[in-house]
Amino acid sequence: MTSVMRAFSIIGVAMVAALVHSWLVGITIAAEGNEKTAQERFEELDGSGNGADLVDPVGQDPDPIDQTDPAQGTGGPVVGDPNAVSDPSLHIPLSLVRKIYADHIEQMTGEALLIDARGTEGVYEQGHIWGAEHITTDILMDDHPVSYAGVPMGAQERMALVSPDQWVIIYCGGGDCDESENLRTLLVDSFGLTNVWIFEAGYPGLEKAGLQTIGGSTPFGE
Amino acid sequence: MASDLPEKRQPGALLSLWLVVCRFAVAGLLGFAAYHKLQDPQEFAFAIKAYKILPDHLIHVSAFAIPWLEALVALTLVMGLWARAAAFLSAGLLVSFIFAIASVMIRADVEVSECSCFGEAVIICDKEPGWCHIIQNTVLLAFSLMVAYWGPGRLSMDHMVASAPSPDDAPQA
Repeated sequence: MTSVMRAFSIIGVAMVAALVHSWLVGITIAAEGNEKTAQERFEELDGSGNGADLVDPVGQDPDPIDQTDPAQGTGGPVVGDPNAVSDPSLHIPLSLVRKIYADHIEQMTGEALLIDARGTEGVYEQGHIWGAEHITTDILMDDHPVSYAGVPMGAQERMALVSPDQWVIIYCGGGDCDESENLRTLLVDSFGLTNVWIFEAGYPGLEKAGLQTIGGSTPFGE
Repeated sequence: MASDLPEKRQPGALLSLWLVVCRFAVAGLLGFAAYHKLQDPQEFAFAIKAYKILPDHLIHVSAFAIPWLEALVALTLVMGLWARAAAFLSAGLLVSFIFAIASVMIRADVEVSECSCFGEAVIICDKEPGWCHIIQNTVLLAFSLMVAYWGPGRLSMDHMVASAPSPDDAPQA
């Protein structure tokens, strides 16, 4: 009986310490979703008011992507529809990724950022989408050195250069990978970014969609 | 204060020495794990989330409570103070860790690339959760249960406190 009371005492002290620690050091588990869908946000930012041209005409996509997350079971997007997303407040459809990629990443306007969040060692170097910067939760939290426009800087400094409204599209390995969602949580809660989206089908989906891939340790493969 | 143990379960010298080994082994690993987890609670929170066992609000609590509990259990085990209670708690922690690792091995839809048992550090086993972690934790669980059963042995503060003469034992003038 004495041991049980002592065990509860130890738990009590641990909980008090945890409470004080959590008060001193805030952490975040999952950021709120965006108030608008990516499509609505695109129309708002680009001022077109008409996103119809962004939707892939039926049958045009030669090799439809399955964005369904098998882990989610029911409630996921329709298999074979590349523009279906399971949570419109978090995920961006392929049609928009293509449009933003063509308008901003390929043109290097600096108004959109594509992030490869895959954390497994060596996968980014093996192959990534051309122009995608390698920022993982570890790289960001540990402030690893990165290179932006040829200038070496810390990962946190790099992300501080992103304006809140800038398009940020994150991908990881597709399927059930958490890396995109965790990184989005950090970017929204710690860096105040408001236009951060996850591409659910991840790297395999973008590769399958025909976006240019490249190897190497920098966005452009050098 | 009287000892918790009945006289027949009071450990001898050799067993006391073995119990010190058990206490220090469990305390060493738990303390090491706590140190690394407390360095970066955010990373530990993401690690717990990857296991897909707890809801978000419990992840937040666990990210701080688990390492602090590990730290206190390690400290009390090293000192041999309240050691049986600490051993019960360490056994509870280890059972929950074994359950968590076994669950990701069983559930094909959950992919956890890093155990995060010791934060970023890798000791004994690889980063990826697997049988090695289960065996490691089972051995530590056995050590904890030995301490819980026999107590911390003679080389402990519990034994010193129990052996100290009480005021009632003082010779009457």
